[in-house]
Amino acid sequence: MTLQVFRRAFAALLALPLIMMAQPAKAGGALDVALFYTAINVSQAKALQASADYYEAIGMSAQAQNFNRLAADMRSGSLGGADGVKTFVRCSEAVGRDIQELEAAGVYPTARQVELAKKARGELNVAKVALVASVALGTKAVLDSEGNVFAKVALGVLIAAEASRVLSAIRQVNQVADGYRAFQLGAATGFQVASREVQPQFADL
Amino acid sequence: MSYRISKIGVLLSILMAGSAHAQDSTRQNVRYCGVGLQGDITSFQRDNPTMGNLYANPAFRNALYKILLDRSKAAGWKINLFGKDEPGGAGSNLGLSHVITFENVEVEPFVDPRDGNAYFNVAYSIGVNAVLFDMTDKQIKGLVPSIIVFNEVRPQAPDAAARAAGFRAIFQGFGVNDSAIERWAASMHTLPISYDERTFFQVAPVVLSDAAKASLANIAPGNSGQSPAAFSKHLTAQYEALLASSFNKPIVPVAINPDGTQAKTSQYVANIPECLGASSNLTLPDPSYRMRLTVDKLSTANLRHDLAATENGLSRGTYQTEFAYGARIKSEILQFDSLNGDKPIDSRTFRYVRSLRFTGERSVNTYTQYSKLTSSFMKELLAAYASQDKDWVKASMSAAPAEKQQRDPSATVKDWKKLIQGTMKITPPTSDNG
Repeated sequence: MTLQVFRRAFAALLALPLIMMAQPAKAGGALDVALFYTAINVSQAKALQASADYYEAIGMSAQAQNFNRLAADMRSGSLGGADGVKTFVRCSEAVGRDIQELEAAGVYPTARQVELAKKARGELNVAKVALVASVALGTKAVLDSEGNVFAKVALGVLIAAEASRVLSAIRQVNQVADGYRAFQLGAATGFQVASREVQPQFADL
Repeated sequence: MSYRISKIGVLLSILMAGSAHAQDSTRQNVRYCGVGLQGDITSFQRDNPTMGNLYANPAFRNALYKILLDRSKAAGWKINLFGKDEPGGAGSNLGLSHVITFENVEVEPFVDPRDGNAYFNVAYSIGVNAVLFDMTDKQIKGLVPSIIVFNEVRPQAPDAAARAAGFRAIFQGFGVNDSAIERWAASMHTLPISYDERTFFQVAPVVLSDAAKASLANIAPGNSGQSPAAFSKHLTAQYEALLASSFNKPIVPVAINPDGTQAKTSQYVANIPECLGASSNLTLPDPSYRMRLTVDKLSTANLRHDLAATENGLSRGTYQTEFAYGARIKSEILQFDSLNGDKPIDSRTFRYVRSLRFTGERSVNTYTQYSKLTSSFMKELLAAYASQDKDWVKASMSAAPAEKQQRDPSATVKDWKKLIQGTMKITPPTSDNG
């Protein structure tokens, strides 16, 4: 428990420079959802970079290259806004699928991969803390900007939905990375809970 | 290899020389009897050729003796354990042995999603019973089964030489961080080794309904390694090991007839040369409770999941195939009664469905997945018994039983609290037994 608290505090410390970079530009008097997207773009790019490093660590180089390219696009600003969030969420889903497929096939990480993945896992933790902070900053920036209450409420709902998607995506990546670390020899089956769509075929059980 | 084990043994002895294994005068002195074999030596070597050959080498046994004595002393069991050359062990009536019960190799082909190449996942397993017994009256005081599992990935299926090397590799893992045998050795401290235990559990052989037998027999007809009988035998051994670690209680091992039924015997035949000479018949205690699983039905279904548009190359394909496996399994707890026969004291029926997903198409061995599914169910069921997990019960109850009470999660958990926590005094385990 104490170790977990220490790890979180350490991740928060490492995330500080990212959180500083995530400070959104002044609102300039306009109520604009772009403030939110700008605030989270750097952290999303960092999270994608961490996922790319994780992919590299577990031997999925082709996916790592894809993610590196997307992270670079996000950093340069050529990918951002709602499209950036959409891409980020899809990337996170892909990471989840790929790791679960390794488990389903029975591909255990080698000792070297476990070692490399541990480092990448640390980066993912830092990215998660930074993303949580930048989502909070981005939301605050929008809600502090000028504009009428009704418009702010409408924007608040939109941002909350986007924030939820981004945060649940990074949490999912962290969860599957944790699961793969614990995917020990002989101790796991690679099974997932069956999908809702397939359940009717087992109605007679 | 024996040289390497000896070296590690010496190293461990040196490391452990500094740590005092506290001997408590209120506890019984027990002599360590080293590694033994279950059954008579001829039939063990016939059924388990690799371990039989390794065991026949005195250097191997001696090296293991030293290592396992030190690791057992450090396990913190409620006994004073002495080696054969220590004075405390000489006058003791009690003996402790690690008895090897079986060897098993499972080979599963798979395609690595990273390079698209075919490989073989090879799982080597060795059953080990920690047996505490009275050397004078040949009575078993405690028996705790466990299974050591070692995996390796190979480009080809292993031949006999490769299989032998795989088993040898298990024992070369002493002192290697996170190796299979180190994980097993580290789990020894959780074993309920005690000379005054009164509550023993027994696992009845896993029963297969005719429908379940047919499902298994149709997968690989003629393959004795994937027969319904092999399925039942393998999973019964797994259930014994899982039960011991989940309930933290000793086990009365079950003897199985060739037709899969339980052999009526109260004798445990073992070869423990260090303390008992050649094969000995040890008397088993009566079990307090018997746990029985009946696999009623096994079924499988495949489903295609189309993936979202793959712009930017995020996905490695356009669809995934979900391979889903399901089982309806009845679990019973029986109270042992030698005069009137076992009395059922709890009976529930569960449905358990899990799946694997792969990008595109894939060939998957259904027999192996049914085996993993049942093993995974056993682990979750025992955890649910021990913790009276209502969420798991609710998610896993079968709608098949006609009696409403049998399908009520709240009533089930209430009954389990009274029986498992109250009467049996089972508490949730704090850590896994490798």
